[in-house]
Order: sequence, then structure tokens, then C-alpha cells
Amino acid sequence: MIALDGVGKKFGTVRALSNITLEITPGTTVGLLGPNGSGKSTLLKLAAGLLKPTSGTVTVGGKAPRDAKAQIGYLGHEPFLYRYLSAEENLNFYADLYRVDRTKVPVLLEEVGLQAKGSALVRTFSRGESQRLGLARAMLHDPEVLLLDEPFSGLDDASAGRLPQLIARPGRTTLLSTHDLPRAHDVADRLIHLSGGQLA
Amino acid sequence: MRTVLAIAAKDLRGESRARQIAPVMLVFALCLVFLLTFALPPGALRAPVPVPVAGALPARDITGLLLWTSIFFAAVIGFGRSAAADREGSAGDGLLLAPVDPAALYAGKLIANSGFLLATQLVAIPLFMLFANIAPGALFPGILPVMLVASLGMAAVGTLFGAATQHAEARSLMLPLLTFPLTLPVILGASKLTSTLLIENRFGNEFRWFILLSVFDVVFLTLGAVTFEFVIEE
Repeated sequence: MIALDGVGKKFGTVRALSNITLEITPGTTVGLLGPNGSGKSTLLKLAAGLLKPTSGTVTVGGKAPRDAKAQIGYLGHEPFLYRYLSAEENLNFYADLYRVDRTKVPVLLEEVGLQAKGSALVRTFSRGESQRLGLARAMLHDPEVLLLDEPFSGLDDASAGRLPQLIARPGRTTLLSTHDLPRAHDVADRLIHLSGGQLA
Repeated sequence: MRTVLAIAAKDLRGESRARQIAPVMLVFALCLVFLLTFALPPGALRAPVPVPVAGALPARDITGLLLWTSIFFAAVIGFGRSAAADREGSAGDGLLLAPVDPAALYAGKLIANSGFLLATQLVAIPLFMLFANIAPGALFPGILPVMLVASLGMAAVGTLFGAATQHAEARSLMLPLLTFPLTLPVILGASKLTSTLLIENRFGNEFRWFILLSVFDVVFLTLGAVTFEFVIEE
């Protein structure tokens, strides 16, 4: 489902990833582990189509990520939300962009435990609430591929514990990065280690 | 069209709460207009020159230039703030991830930016006339189509370069540097039309500037829609 073939990425003179060849089979959840600066976020951004590889190719479902946008859900370090819109307005906006029925919005808000804060502006949200709303945004269009960069970050234990059930869907391919090894073991079918921009 | 309207509505709704674009543009435009009109003798911007002096320029001939230069610099501040709203929380990356035609993203942002600019002008121009002691009938309603085409032209360039410079380190410097030379025909055309309207109460022979502004709009709207994809990607 997600395939990287000889992928390298440089930012100026800094090499973030070197010659990564990786294939993630459909319906599996893969945990991406590695220290800070090992290239986890870069790899996820390449798979989401937010970055272009310097060398090699990235495909999602056999297509370039930019041609598979409707199939990809991505949550990065930032939740990609508008601070001066409410939670519900943010999700309604993304529902319009993804051509998803707005009736899904209250359901998702309830799933992430934010039903009581639907009309609150995002600028009033805590880090954890923003993270949960960002997750709802990433899953709004029920993507076949879910890319999550440190999804447990900022979540309390209860929310972090609910996350595996929340993202699980038959047939969904999930690639998530984390520093939390026990949680990675719980949620992932397979673990990959990155070190210095290379597969370890 | 649904996408275009969703993006424009998102920007307008956000600004109605944040108030970080239109009020800042308005205050800046008013300060410039106030400064420029009060630097000239009272009534100079509406009075004809009684005795022409070789090489002298009647003050009312530069009325339009004073007004539209002020509006341009206010507009640049607005375009920068509008692009910054997408930078906060990396919200703009959420737009890039969505399966949306980049031309629709451009059109949505353009509508919102044109709206901010028009709203600023609707307050700034009457106040400018008040400061300069110009009768309301001297410019209105003739200036309304000028405001429309000039706003669209400025926003067409500003929206494109606002997005292009939003990840640049010196973006607050880059944006005016890039937009000013390209927007010169708009400033010049709108200035000529405004001054002519004030002097002759009609566009007369200067109507050609209106045609130039309209052509400018068509060219830059097309250019923006076609190139926005390359401007916003990494």
C-alpha cells in the first residue's frame, strides 16, 4: 500500500533520509521508531505528499501521494486547524474540502471525546484537545492510509489508551511514529527503526 | 465552486473573530491618507491651479496617487496577515493535503483578500474625501468600478506572492518587494482614473486606464490560478 523505493531527502546540505526502501502491506499497522532527528517525520511527510523526495520514489496505492490525497489521512506535529474557527467549523470546512457529508462531524467529535466543545474556538483548546481534534480531521474522510506523527504526544493516558481503537478500521494501513515503545508494541503489527536517516 | 466558497468563508469567518487583517489595513491606510492630505495646503486636492506655473503640478492631479499608494501599502500588510493565518498551526498544510484543485485554493483566498481590501476602501476613501475636503459627489459612485478592478488586481498579485513568500525567512520584506513593481500598473491606472474623476467628474479619455486595469486583472487572475500549484508546493 505504501512503498518507498531508494528514497533520499536532503534539506540544503543536510541529508534527512538516505536510500530508504520499504513496503508496507495493506491493512497493517507499522510503528516507526527512532531517536530525534532520525528522519521519522520526514518519512511521514514524504508519504503524505507534503515533501518531495530528493531521490527515489514514493507511492501510495500505486500512485504518487499527490494523486492519492483522498486516500491519505495525516496528522503531523501540528493539528492543521484554524485557531479562530470552532472545532465544528474546522471539521465542517475540511468536510467540504474532502466532499464528505457534514453529518459525520458530530459523530467524529463524539468519538474523540470533544462533543461538548464543538462550538469552542480552537485557540482555547489544550494541547491534548487540539491533538484529538487533529486526529478527527485526519480521519474525517475515512482514509485507507493513515499517517500519524507522534499521535500519543500531548494525550492523557485515557485518550492515549483509546487511540488504537479509534484508528482501527478493517483494511486500513497505518504508519505511525512514536517514542513510546510499549504503546508501539500494543498498536503495531510491525516495527521499523530509523537511525541517522537510514533503516536500522 | 463549493470549495472556493468554503475557503473564502473560512477566511472571512476567521477574520471576523481575529480582526487581524482589515482593522490593521484600515488604520495604516488612514494614517497615510491623513499624513498626506494634511501635508498639503487646505483645499489643494480639489482646487484648480489658478495660474499655471511651468513645471508645477496641480495638487489635485496627484490626489489619486496619494490615495492609491496608501491603499497599496495597507493592502500589502493585509496580504501578509492573510497568508500568516494559514501558517499558524501549519493550517495551510491541511489545505495542501486535501484533494482540492490549487486554482480553487487561489480563488478562495483571492475572494477573501479582495473582500478585506474593498472593506478597507469603503471606509478609507470617504474619510480621505473628508480630510481633503472633497464633496462626496466628486468621486462617488464613479470610483466604485475603479475600486473593484483595482482591488481584484492587487489581490490577484498579493494572494499569489503572499503564498509564495509565506515560508521565506524575510517574508515581510519579500512581499512588498515582489508585489510593488508588479502592481505599479494598478496603482497608476487607479490613480489616473481617480484624479480624472475628481477633475472632470467622468473618465473621459482616461477610460483606457480602466481597460488596462481590466486586462491586468484577467492576466494576473489566470497566471495566479495556473501557477498557484507550483507556488504552494515545497
